[in-house]
Amino acid sequence: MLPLTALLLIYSTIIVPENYKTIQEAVINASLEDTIIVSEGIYKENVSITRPISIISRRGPDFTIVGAAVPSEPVFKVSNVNNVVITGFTATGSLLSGIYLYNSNNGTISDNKSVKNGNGIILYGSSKNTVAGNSADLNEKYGIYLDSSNRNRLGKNSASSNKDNGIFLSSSSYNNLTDNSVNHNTWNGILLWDSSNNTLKDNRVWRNRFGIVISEGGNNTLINNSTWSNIYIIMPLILAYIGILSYIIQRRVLKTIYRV
Amino acid sequence: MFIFSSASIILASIGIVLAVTSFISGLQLVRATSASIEGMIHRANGYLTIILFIVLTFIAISSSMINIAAVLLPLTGLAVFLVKLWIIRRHKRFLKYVSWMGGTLITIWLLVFYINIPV
Repeated sequence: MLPLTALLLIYSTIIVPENYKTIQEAVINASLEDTIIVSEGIYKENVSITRPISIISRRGPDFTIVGAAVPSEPVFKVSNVNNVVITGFTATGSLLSGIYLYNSNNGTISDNKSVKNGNGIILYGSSKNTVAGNSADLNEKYGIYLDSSNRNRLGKNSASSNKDNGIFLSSSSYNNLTDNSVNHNTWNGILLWDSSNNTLKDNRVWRNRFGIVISEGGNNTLINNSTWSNIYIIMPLILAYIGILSYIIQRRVLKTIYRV
Repeated sequence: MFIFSSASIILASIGIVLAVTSFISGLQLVRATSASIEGMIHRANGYLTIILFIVLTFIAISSSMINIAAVLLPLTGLAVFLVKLWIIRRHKRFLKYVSWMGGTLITIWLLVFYINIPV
């Protein structure tokens, strides 16, 4: 894959809000495989992407916030298009989803924060996408939801404090979930339903009602995932025990020093 | 390790250890033969928890997403601590309540720990 600077030299670059005031205007006027650079700011819009372009924020998700103008629509919706890149945004305020890939393949969704939406990130009928380094937290339903989506890679994402499942794979196969943090969700941490041949490796699935749940699926591979539900109940007890040991040690040391 | 991935949870963990140590030495003070050593342990660990309460309050205030509980709990702990000091120094007739206040401080540390759990 070419580095960002090389990509910018090959394809033309559009800057928001310098060239176009809104991200959607820039998307409409972009040519195939153009790159849209979005400066920091708060944008109130729903971005619909139907051509292969890259949308990258200049300063990252903490400074580039896109809120849904129409709450019933996704903040970013990628429909029937391949090779789309969305990087470095906070997507919030949609009752449906922060980022929604519909029938779109080979895309990259990275380093975004999709928080306080209906769902964080949805992939529907979308395959071979990379979803990495995103935070899909504090959503009303699922953090990351894959439906009929195969051969995607989900790595180093956070899907925590959602009000249903952290990561939900429905009728999705051959996906690779690696090194994700899926904590403190109201229901399941990771749910595989009617999904087979998925690989779950090195995921931290802590403090959910249920850790990893596999239902009506087969041949899924689980390697080195941690699913500690009660770690934070055990931890204070261990710390209190260390406190008692600390008292005994301090007492012995001071007695030795002062020869009491 | 992920559990200790934020400064607040590390400080809260240290706080529990110090508070338990201080609490036990405080209980031992009542019937200790070597009261000076118990007193030293009690005071040293206790005063360290004050510093932790203050640092935790500053961390909570400086956070981009302020959690009210994370601000109020260390302040409450600080207030309980100051009242305890005030009783010990000025109003010894309330001395029988200080062990309860020590227990309250441990409870506050447990709450501070739970509030700061990384998700």
